[in-house]
Amino acid sequence: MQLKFSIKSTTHYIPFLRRLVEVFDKTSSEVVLDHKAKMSCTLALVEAVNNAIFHAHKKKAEEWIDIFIQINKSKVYIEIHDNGEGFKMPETDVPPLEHTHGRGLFLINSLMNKVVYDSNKSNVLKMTYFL
Amino acid sequence: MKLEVSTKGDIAIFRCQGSLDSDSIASFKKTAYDMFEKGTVKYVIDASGIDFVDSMGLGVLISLLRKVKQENGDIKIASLTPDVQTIFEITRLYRLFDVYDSPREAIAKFKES
Repeated sequence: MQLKFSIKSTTHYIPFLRRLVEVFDKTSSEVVLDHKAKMSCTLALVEAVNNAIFHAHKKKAEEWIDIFIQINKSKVYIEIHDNGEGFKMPETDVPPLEHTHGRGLFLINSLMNKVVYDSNKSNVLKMTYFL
Repeated sequence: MKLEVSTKGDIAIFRCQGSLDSDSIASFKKTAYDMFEKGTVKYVIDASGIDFVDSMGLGVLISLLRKVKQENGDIKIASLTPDVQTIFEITRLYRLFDVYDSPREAIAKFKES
C-alpha cells in the first residue's frame, strides 16, 4: 500500500500526520504493524516534516512538502521532499541535554533502521523501518 | 493539546491531554511563560494524558526548565505514558528532569526540598 501527497509547509498538518500510520495499519489487509513500529514511524514522519518546515523552508508556509509512504510486509518506507537548503546529516550522538533544539534528526536516526539524505537534485530524506 | 492548570501553594500543576508537538506547543509555552513572569518557578507536569511528544515538545520543557532553574525553581514530571517514557530514554532526558510515578509524589518532593 502506498500514498503520495503534498502539504503546505505548516504545522497545521501535524495532527493529520500523527494519525496517518495508524490509518494505514487499519486499512491494510496485508500488513499489521506492532505498536513500536507505529510509534517509531509516526514520530520519524513528524520529525522529518518539522525539519522541512522549520529548517529547510524557514517556516515559509507557501512552500510545499512532498510525502511518500509505502507499507508492505517487509518495511515501512517514508520519503520527505523539500525545496529548501540542504543540510548535513548530524552525528548520531545524543544531543547535549540542556539544548532545546537538535533532537529531531537524532530521533529519526534512533527510531528508523535506515536513514538516507539525498540532496543532489532536490532534498529527499528517506527513512525505512524494517518489519 | 488540552491544558488544565491548578496550583498547590507556590506549585503550578499542569495537567496535559493530547500531543505536545510543534503544532501544540504555543499554548503550553504561553501559559507556562506567563506564569513564570508572574513569579511561578515550581511546576509539576502531569503527563498522564500526553500520548505523543516530538522534539519541539521536549524543547519547550527544557526551555522552561532552564528559565526556572535560574530562579532556583524546578520542573518535575509525573506519570509519563509508555511512548513518552521511550522518548525520554532515547534522548536521556531522565538525567535532566526529575520524573515521578504520580503528581502527588512530585508535589511531595517539592515540599521536602
